[in-house]
Amino acid sequence: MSTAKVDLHRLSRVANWAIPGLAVASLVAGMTVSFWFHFLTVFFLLLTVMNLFYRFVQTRHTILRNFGAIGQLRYVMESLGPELRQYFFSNDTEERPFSRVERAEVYRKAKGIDAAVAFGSQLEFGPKEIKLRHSMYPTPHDELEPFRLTFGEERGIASAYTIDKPIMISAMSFGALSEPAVRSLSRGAKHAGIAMNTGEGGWPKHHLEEGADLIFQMGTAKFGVRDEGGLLDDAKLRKLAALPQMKMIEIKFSQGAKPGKGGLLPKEKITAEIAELRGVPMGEDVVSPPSHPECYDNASTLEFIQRVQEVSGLPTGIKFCVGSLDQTAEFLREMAHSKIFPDYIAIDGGEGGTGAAPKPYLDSFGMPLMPALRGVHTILTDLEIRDRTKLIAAGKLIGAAKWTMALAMGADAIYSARGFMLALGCIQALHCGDNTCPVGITSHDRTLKHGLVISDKAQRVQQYVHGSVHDFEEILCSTGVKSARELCMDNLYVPPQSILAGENRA
Amino acid sequence: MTTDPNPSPEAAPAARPLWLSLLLWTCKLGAAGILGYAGYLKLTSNPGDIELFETLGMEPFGRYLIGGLECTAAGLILIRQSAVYGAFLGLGVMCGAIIGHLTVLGPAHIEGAILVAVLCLVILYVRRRDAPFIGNMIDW
Ligand SMILES: Cc1cc2nc3c(=O)[nH]c(=O)nc-3n(C[C@H](O)[C@H](O)[C@H](O)COP(=O)(O)O)c2cc1C
Repeated sequence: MSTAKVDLHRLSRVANWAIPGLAVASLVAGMTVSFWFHFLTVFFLLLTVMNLFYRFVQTRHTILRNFGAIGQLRYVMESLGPELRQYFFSNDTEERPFSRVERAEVYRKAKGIDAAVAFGSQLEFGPKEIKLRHSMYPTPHDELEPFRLTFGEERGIASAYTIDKPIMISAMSFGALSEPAVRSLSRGAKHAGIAMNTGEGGWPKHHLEEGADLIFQMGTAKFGVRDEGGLLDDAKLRKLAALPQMKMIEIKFSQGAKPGKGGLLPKEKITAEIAELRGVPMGEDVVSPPSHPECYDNASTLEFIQRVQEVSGLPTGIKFCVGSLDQTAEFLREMAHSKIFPDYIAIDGGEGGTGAAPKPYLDSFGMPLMPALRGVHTILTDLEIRDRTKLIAAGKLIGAAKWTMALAMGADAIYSARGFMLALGCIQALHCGDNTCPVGITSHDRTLKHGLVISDKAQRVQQYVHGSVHDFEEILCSTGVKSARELCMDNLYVPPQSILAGENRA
Repeated sequence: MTTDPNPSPEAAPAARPLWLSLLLWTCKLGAAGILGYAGYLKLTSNPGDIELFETLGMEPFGRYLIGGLECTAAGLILIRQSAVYGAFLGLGVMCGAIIGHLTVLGPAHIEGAILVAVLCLVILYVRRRDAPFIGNMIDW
C-alpha cells in the first residue's frame, strides 16, 4: 500500500482518540500553564460529545457512524462540490446543460454588451460538429428580406397570427416559474415584439398582466380549460381565446424533458395562488396524465385538434417530442389523409428542459431535436404536405447560430425556454424543482424572489432578443440567402458520418 | 421555515404541546436572564468578578471576553432562529465555569453554572432538530 495516500479509516481512528486526548491535554495545560487553555478544553470536550453522537447514537449516516467527525468533512466537501466545480474546476466548455461559454454569450446579449471574442473558438472543430456555411458572396444587408411568418394562413382564417422575428418564448408555466419571472418575460416579450407561450399552468393571470402576445398551452391536465372530469370545457376555452392578447392555442402532447409522462409540479412549489389558478389542492405533487383522454389514436387526435381550432377560432398548434419517426409518420399520413392540419407542429428535442422531471425521463427518453426535426420535415415533404403547416423547433437553441441551423434543418420558427431563463439571470444552479432557486426565477419564496426586479429583467429579455436577432440577420447575410425561408441543408456543413448528412455533401 | 410563505402540510413541524412550550420559554428566560446579568456584571467591572478573574489570571481581557460571550449567548437564546446556537454557546461558557470552580475557584457557587448548563441542555434538547449538522439526523 502506498504511504502517500490518505487513509480515511486510519485517520479517523487517530482522530477519534485524539479528540478526547486533546481535551484531557488542554485540561492539564489549563491547570498548570494558564486558565486560557480551558477554551480548548471546552471546545474538545464538546467535540468529543458530538463525535460520540455521530458514532453511537445517530443511525442515518454510515460514514459518520464509522468515521465520526472526520467523516463530517466528507459531507461538507460534497455539499460544496458543485459550487467549487462550477467556480474553479469546470472548464469553460464542459458544464451541462449549458457550458459557461454558451451562458456567457446569453448574459452578454441580455446585458446589451456587444463584445467580440478574441483569439479563437473554444468549441470543437472535430469531425462531429455541424457548422454553418458562409457564401463567397454575402448578401448586402439592405437586400435582406424582413422575417415574416403567418400561422393559420393555410386555413385562411381571419385570426391568422404573423410574427416578424423567428424566436418565441417556449412554454413555461406560472408555477414552474415565479411571478416576477413570468412578468419579466411577458413585459420583455412585449417590448421586444415577440410572442410568449403560457405553459400548462392554468389561467395565465401574470402572463396577461404585462401585455405580451400569448400562446395558450393546453397541457394534458387542461388546467384553465378543464371540466370536472378532466376533459376539455369548450366554454372555458372560448372565453380564454376571446382575450385580445391570446393569439394562438397549443395542445401539448409531450415535452422533451419527460416524453410519455405528464407535467409535474412538486408540492414544495404549490402556493395558494397556483392552486387556485390550476384548480388543484395544496400539499401534494400535481401530476398531469401522460396523454389527453380525448386522444387515443390518430383519428381521435386529429378530431380533437380540429375541435380546438373551431372552438377557439385561433391558429392552433401541437407540441410533442418525437419518440419514433415511424409512429410520427403514421400520424402525419393520417393528417394528409383526413386533411386536418394543426397550424403548427412544435418539435421538442429530448434535450429539452423542465422545472421537474423524473431522472430516467430527463436523461434517457426522446429523440434529440435535430434528427427529429429533420425527420418530420422530410416526412412532411415526402407526403407533399410541408406547405400545410409550420414547424417550430425547441431544444437548447439559445443563440442565433443555433436558430439558423434549426431553420436550415426544416424549422420555420424557434422556441426557446432556457435561453430566456438565462437572460433573466439564471445561473444554472439546477434547483428549479425544490423552490430554492437562488435567483428567484423558479422559487416562490418571498426572500428569493426579492432579487428579481421586473423592470430590470424585462429589459434584459428585450436586449437578448434584439441582440440575437441582430446576429441572426448578420448570419443570414453571410450565408448568402436573401431571407430565412431560403435556408436549407446546403447552408450547413454536416460531417459525412452524421446520420443527418443524408442528402448533404461534405 | 419562516421564509416559506406556504409550507406544505407535511413540511410543517408538528405542533409543540403547551407544557413543552412553557418549559422551553421558562428555560430560555432563565438561561438568558442569568447569562445576561452575569455578562453585564463582568463587562461593567463588578469588583467580585475582577477578583475572580485575577484568581484565574485572566484580568482584564478574559473577563471582557467571557462577559461578551455570555451576553451574546443570552441574546441568541431569546431569538427563535438562533436559540440552539445561543444554548450551545452558553453551555460552552458554563463548562468553562464549572472547570474553573473544580480546578481553581473551589466548589462554592458552582450550582449557578450547573443550573445554566442544565437550562441550556433543555433548550438544546427541545430544539434539537434546528441544530446544524446533526439536526437532520435526529428522528426522535
Ligand atoms: C422551467 C421550465 C418549465 C417548463 N414548463 C413547460 C410547460 O409547462 N409545458 C411545456 O410544454 N414545456 C415546458 N418546458 C419545456 C420548454 O418549453 C421547452 O420545450 C424545452 O425546455 C426546450 O427548450 P430549451 O432548450 O430552449 O429550454 C419547460 C421548461 C423549463 C426549463
